[in-house]
Amino acid sequence: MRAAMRQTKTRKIVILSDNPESNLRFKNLENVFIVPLKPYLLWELREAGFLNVRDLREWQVDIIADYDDYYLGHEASIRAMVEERSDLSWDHLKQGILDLMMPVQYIKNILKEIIEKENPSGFELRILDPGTELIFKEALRDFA
Amino acid sequence: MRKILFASYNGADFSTIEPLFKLLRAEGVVLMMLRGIHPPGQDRLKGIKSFDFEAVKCRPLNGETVIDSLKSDFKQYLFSKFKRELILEYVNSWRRIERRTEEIILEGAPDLVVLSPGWVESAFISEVCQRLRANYCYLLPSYYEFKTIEFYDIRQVPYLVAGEAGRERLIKKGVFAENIRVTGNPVFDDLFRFRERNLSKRNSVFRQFNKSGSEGREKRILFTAQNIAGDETLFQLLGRYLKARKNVRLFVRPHPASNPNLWKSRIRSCSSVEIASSKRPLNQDILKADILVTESSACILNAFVLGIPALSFKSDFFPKDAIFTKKEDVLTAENYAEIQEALDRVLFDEKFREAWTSSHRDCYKRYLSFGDGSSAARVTDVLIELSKKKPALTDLERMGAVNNNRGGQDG
Repeated sequence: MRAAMRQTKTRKIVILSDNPESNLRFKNLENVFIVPLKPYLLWELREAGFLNVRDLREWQVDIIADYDDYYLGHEASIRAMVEERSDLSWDHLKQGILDLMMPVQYIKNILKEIIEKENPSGFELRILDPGTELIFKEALRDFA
Repeated sequence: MRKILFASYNGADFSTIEPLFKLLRAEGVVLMMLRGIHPPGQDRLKGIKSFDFEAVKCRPLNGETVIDSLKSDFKQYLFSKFKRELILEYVNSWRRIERRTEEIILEGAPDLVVLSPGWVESAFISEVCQRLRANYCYLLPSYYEFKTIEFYDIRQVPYLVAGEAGRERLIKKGVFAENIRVTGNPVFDDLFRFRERNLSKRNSVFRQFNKSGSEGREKRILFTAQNIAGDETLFQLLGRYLKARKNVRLFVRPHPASNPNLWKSRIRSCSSVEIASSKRPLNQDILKADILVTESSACILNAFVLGIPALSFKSDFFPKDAIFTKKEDVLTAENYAEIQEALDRVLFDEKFREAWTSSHRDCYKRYLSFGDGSSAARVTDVLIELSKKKPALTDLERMGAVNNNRGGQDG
């Protein structure tokens, strides 16, 4: 596997991508790994001979059985964050914000794990879907 | 004479309460309806006193105050998701809802307000009910109990649900068990009636086909789109499958809220693909299919009842609330290889298909407690019973009562 990898002088970079086209130039670069943001892309890239592809779920800390687990696992921390960041008196708007922040918190936890375990020099976003891009940009804000 | 006010049954949710009207009227109940977003046409509201929110005018709130109370970094994220005007519009329309509900409850004096919990307006209406001491309960529209995460608020009032699975999910969400009534849902009554009328006919036609050699019969995939970004991905992957297999036809059923022209242009060059109009009954389309393919759609439940295998596709990594099924009840896929494997097994492996169908015959019972066609009558009985009760304590009063009791015990 190492022989197939191309050498780069840079430190390890994580490419977070849902864009199959933009991944080509990173194919099998030793100090770059690509984390597809869509499960079907993970399979497509591996089929296309990418050796430097990793599954986002490798860094998922908690086992999440279903959405309720996911929600209940993150609710308290997001609620605390919303309370801390604003003095909104609109409970229902807060609830909306809570739902909105759920995927951000999920990704934030994963990014934290990537940083701790992989010690990358940086993340690069190559994202086509605007909704996904917002989630990742917001999640990355704390690590800037 | 008792009066019941229904509120927040927007769009498709209305079909949950529509079958109740006749039964409630027969019991002498006066019906009222608070029309919200996407209300049903007037022809479906004959004989029902209906109100809407637009009638009330209130001074627009200075939304800037609300917006300014958000910290700047957080605000940036919020505004990148929702336009500023939309947030202001929401804030002001919520206020209008509160004001209007107050007027209607004071003037109409309903004995019971029945709410659909999935809409944010319900949260505001429930607050007004609490403030004015009006009796209220939640009658869950079909499927909602399987995606309880969208509930804006959990209040300790009666909830009417279709089955035990919904009951369990609500308890997990914080509703006290004694507040939940498992009644069934009238929408599923229709589904079971449809099953009674059509399933044996369909099976005999398919058996006939299979006797004469299943290879010759055209296989049908029904793809119910969800109006989400993942639709296109799934469509492309299914298109790839069509190219790899002969005698397979794909029927795309666009989401009712999506633009059908978008799908027309997507399928233009695909000869094995047809659009199934979302105006046609969904159950008919499911029954004609060999397999239902969808992403997190609640219509999987219809497939369960009708005995059609379902393939649930997952296009991203985020856990979704709409995937309510147990893993063993659906086939799952998240990439092309898995789609191909699942479709091949269901469409071309008769032994697998037969084994799957027979072992999953009753899997709907995990999610729906009733299939006897009497849900509407059960819901009616519970609503009449609730309308005779005295208004419940508000949550604050309840908490106060608990604290007082504790105080008494301590003393």
